[in-house]
Amino acid sequence: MVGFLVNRLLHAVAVLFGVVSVTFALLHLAGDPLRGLIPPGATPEVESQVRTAYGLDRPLPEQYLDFVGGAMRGDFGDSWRQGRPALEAVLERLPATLWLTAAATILAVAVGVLLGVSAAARPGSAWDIVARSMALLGQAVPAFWLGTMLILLFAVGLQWLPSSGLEGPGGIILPALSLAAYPAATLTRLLRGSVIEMLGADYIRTARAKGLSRSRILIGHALRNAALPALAFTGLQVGFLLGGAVIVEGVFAYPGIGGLALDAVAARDIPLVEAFVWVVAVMILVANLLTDTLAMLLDPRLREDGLTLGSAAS
Amino acid sequence: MSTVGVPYRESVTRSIGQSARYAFPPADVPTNAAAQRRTAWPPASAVIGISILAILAMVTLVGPSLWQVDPEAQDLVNRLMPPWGLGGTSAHPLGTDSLGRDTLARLITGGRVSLPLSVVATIASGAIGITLGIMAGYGGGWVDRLVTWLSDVQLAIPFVVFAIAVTAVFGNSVGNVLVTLIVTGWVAYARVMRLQARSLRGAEWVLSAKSVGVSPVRLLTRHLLPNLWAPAVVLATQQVGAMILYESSLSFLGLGIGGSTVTWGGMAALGREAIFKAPWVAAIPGIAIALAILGFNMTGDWLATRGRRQGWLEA
Repeated sequence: MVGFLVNRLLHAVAVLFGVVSVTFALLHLAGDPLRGLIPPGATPEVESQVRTAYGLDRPLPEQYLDFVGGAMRGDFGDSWRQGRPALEAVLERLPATLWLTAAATILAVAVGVLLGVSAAARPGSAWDIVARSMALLGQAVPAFWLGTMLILLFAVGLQWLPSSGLEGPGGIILPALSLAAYPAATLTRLLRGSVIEMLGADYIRTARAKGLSRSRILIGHALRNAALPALAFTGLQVGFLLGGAVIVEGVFAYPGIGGLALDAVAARDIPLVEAFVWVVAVMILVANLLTDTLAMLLDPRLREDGLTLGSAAS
Repeated sequence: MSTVGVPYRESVTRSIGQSARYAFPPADVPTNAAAQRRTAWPPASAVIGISILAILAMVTLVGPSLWQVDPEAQDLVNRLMPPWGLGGTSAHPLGTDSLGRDTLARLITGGRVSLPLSVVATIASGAIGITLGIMAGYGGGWVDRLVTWLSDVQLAIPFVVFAIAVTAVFGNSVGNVLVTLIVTGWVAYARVMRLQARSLRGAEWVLSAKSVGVSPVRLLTRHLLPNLWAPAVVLATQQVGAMILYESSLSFLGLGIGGSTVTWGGMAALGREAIFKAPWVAAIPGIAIALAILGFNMTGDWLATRGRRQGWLEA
């Protein structure tokens, strides 16, 4: 168990190193980080002064080592716009994004389990068709559009909830709904499929022969065994949710890291963009580690074989 | 008898039949008798999906000659006109935007950008992902570890995050959107193809082909690829929907193609500014996006279900 966790932790560090290298390649090798920052009519002297000031006149290998050394510790220098450490600026906005992501995850799991299991209980029934249609729609409707329509309905039409910002607890409801639709739909389909599959297994026949109640079999047996792939899926969805949070934050002017990053793009604040990419990657890696650990605690077979969830789910 | 919705005898024969014939039981089995009788015909959802795709293809190919209205022509007198039937006229069946431009014409123009872009991105990312996936699954060893590492790195950078980094340095362009879609799209193929290829590696017919001295290249081109292309096509069909979703999200956020290019996501973003006065301007492009994604997803799901039932697609 400890060996497995150390192994996963080392893998996570290796992946973070990859993310940092990709960031460097993208922002420093392929592109010119100062593009648009140097005024058009500037003399070469001014330009070289700016490059020296930002440390961009040094040889690339030296810049890379320096960047990786700092980035692995989360040091990206000062934000060009805000004049304070870029990581500090991102971390300040992180809690709002984490709340949104957590709310959406809980919502998606609740709806996904409810719809998926109830649809699997009576495949082919009218309710099954309704659940499957809702899942199809949930996967097809873009989050930015759903958010816009929710604003129209609840903030403009009914005036129940605020349309933007995070004033009071109601401010998180519409963004979380918009963000949760897609993962809830995917989870519904996944769970429906695996619960139906489980219901055909021998141990379900045994449970039925014992005279166990219908709901007991469905929840105690079939759902329990279908939960692991669902957990693996939810862990993988964290990346999607954090990406989706950026979109939804844009729609609702929600004060999270997504809005900050979109502003940083407009201002060409490269250190802030770097810190943002890094923070999202770290969050995803932490979520994956937690999912792997949780799965091992839930399933003794994983503990013995030292398998990862990815291989179990596949 | 039928305690959990599946008739007892049917469920037993199903599980026996499956374990004998399929590597994985189909996830999407129709369990009622009516659904099983229908198997000769595509299910209703597939018919709807294929119909949507046919309409989209037609609009993309010949749309501008059917509806010959200039998508850029401004008519400031007729700004924010509602669609025909909701108070609008047949001159602008889907209404007009905040500059009085015809929504139908812009929808057609935008579709001619978004749809081909998504298909090209799907094919390009598919080529990369399939190659890497087969190398990892069939080759194993360090190649497998390298590809796994690469895909984990990619999964740690969601597509919007990648697009933010790209746009911050390079600005907006078609090329940048394409690169973002390809770079973030290959992982899905690599993961599935890795599993498919790994399951083929130990198959008896592969081993026997090897043992009679078939060269690795011939083994790949004549034996492995013919067995892998069908799963790849299924996955690609399902991925086009994701690409449409990604592209429209980027355009909406201002991380897309930019400039004066008409895209569905950009139309929705523009419509949002007039959301209080004319909600249909934002609603219509969203409906177009959702329909296009539905078309590809429904068709892809039908192909996938067939694949699992016929045994050529792993669950």
